[in-house]
Amino acid sequence: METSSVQQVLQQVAALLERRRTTQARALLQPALAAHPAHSGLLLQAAYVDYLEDRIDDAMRTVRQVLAADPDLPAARELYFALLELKDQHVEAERVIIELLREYPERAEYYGRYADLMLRTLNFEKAKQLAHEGLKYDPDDAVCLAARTLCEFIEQPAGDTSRGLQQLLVRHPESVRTLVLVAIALQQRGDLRGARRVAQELVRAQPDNEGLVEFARALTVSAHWSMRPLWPMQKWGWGASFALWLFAIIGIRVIGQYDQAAAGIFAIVMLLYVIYSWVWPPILKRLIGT
Amino acid sequence: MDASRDANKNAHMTHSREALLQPTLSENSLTAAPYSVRATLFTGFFGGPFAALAILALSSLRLRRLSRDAIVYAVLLLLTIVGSWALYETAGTTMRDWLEAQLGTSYLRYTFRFVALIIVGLGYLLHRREHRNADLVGLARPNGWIAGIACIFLGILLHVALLFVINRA
Amino acid sequence: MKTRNEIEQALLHDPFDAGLRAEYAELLLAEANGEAALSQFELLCKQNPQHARGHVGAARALLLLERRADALTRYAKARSMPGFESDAELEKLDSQARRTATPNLRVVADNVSNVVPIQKVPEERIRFSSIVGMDDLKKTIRIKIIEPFVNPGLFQRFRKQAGGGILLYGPPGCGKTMIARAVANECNAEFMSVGISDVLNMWIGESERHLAAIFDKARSQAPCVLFFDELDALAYSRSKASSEHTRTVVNEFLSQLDGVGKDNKSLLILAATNMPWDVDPAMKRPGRFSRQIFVPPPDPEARAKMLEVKLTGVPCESLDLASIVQRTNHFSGADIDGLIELAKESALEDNVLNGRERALNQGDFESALAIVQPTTQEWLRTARNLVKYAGDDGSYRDVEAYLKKTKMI
Repeated sequence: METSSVQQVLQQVAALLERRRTTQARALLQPALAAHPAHSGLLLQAAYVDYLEDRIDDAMRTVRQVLAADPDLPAARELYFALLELKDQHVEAERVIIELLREYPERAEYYGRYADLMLRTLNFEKAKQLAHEGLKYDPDDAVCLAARTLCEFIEQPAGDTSRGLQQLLVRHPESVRTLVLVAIALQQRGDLRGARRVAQELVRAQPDNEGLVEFARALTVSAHWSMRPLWPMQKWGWGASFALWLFAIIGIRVIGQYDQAAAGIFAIVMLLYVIYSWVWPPILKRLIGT
Repeated sequence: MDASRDANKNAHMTHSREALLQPTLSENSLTAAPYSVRATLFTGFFGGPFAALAILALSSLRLRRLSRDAIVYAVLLLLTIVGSWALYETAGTTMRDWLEAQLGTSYLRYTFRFVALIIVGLGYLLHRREHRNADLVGLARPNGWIAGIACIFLGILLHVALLFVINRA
Repeated sequence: MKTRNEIEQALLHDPFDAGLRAEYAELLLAEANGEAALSQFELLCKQNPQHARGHVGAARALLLLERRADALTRYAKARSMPGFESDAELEKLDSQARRTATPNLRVVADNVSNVVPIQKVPEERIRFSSIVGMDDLKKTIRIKIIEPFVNPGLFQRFRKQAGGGILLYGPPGCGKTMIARAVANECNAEFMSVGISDVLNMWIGESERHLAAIFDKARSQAPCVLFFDELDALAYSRSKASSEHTRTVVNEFLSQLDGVGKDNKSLLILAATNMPWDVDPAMKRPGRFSRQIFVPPPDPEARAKMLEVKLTGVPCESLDLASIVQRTNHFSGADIDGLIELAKESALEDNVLNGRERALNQGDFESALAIVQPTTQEWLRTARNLVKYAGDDGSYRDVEAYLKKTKMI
């Protein structure tokens, strides 16, 4: 196979992978790899195919083969970093991304990906600093903006506006990442219907993405009319449960001082509410899921 | 003047960037997600203040910040012991009578449960960022059953031991 | 007048407020931020595709980005929509543009010979009668597609135009391509097919030029049925695309479908896709592939007929076809073929090993049924996610009806 043909195959495979047509990409790659078994570009594409098909170990093996032959190839190192993260090999992943940053200090996306890694390992302060650093080089970088937004969600109470999210809505309004963050923001604010509408948009765009479908399913459950009585718990979480417990005890005592029967009824109502709050959400989830 | 200010600024930026590029993670110091709020709440609810402190300490251990949180736990432990002593001592009779009038014969159980839940709440505030971080990035929480049950047993044991000491005193 | 910050904050609270979004987009346009303004107007069009405001705004943003041809196309489209308000600059540009000239992305007629050759389909003479079952679908297609094309006069009296675009979608192997060929033959029109291999060739260079040439060639051979197989490969959603090249190909495709300065009236454009959710939403707007027809897996009657037809001439013992039909729920036509082939292999293997000839029997089908699984399951599971969790905008009502009928929801 000539070099120009290899280039053609690489272009075509890249276009197929952009469209997630991994079967066709693999079919194109096989004869090309048979002719050029050590071609880094072809091997890297094969690794991407495995990665997209969730064959992480195969992808890892292939990308290591590429790096053994061509250790400086940035695309291979980026994929290697992604695979290490998927396999929870965070220490090695950090080493790879630091090396990439030392060689390409102005690549904002690398700062964003490093920030993601720090968030995944609960190193919040460093994640924040990395996102901030990356945005100095490229204020529009989607990965850094998303990391910054997550940091703002972690730090700020639910009602406050995230500057990072505002920037994402301006620069990357249709990206899946942006929409997911919008849904999370709405959810944190207690606007479950709004969050569900955004999640529906996401499923419309990627109905085969199990993560998004599960997200939409959870929001469909939360926003269901029969879950309305649970809005204090949905809005304030366990704090509301604690307040409810206090309210129940105090209520029973106070009412009991005037009318024991009424106190009994109150106690039963509270008990039923607690049972409903425990039992109904998983039942509803099953009903909606089937 | 401007040139030297810019040079200082660049030097500072390079220094802070360099600091960011130092590795943070090592095999021995990887942080893990804390126990879920639900597990902590139930442990405190059923095990009392000592159980709540125990499971919070385990969460701090997982977060590699036990040394930082230890002082807070020590203060809470002291307050719990002192408060319990004050409640059980003869001098606490007025307080006990008042609580019994308000909460009935189970007042002691409610009081300790309330204290435990306050400790759980304070613990959540201490680890709030880590909890939100773990939830937002979808980190798997450790199974709270075994740790929770162990802490409940420990909490009950410590509570009984404390009562024993108080009664003997 | 709200400040930019105020509008951004308000949008965060209600991302679906069209008025607010329009205001925001105008603000960005006033700040000469063409890219950001275009993104916002595109979102507005998505939220309100029938209103001219978003399209005129997008045209103004395109003009700001010096994409004059795209701006004119967009502006032309907006003219026929409610709420249209003329823009002085665009009107001036429109009047100056040569109607018959082509922008630099399009091929002039005498360069058509340089294009990637498209498949001229040999005279297979597939007609609707060749397609087993699917009577309801065939009836829908005959009324909505074939008759308007073959009897334009009748439909014109009712003010309905012939031609246009139709998108066939559904699980793989259910006969979408075959239906497209049958439509062409029923229409007695030339049939030109653009498949994935042609698309792959386009990706390695000059995609837009080739695409424009394909359309020009189809127009020159009108009446013509132009069929795009695997439409999602060519018209991949621009919001998911990472390369600029993909977006420009989609833009060119949209221009060609709109037929600005060209006559698409005698052109019937069909497309098929297994992944309608990956097709750029602009493709499904009025005037483009506005009619979308779901091609489901064959129903029990169709499967029974298929088995009868495909087993004609094959030596068979008496077979319990009803039982086979019952156990081949959700099987596509291709799956039925696969089942029969496997059953034949089982019989032949037995023949060879035992040295005596026997006919195909029920046992062969039983062993084949234990191995063959319908290939439509994954698609149907994805479709179920769409129906259950993507809200009801009416796009997939047919799919919902099918899933309910087959008790998948």
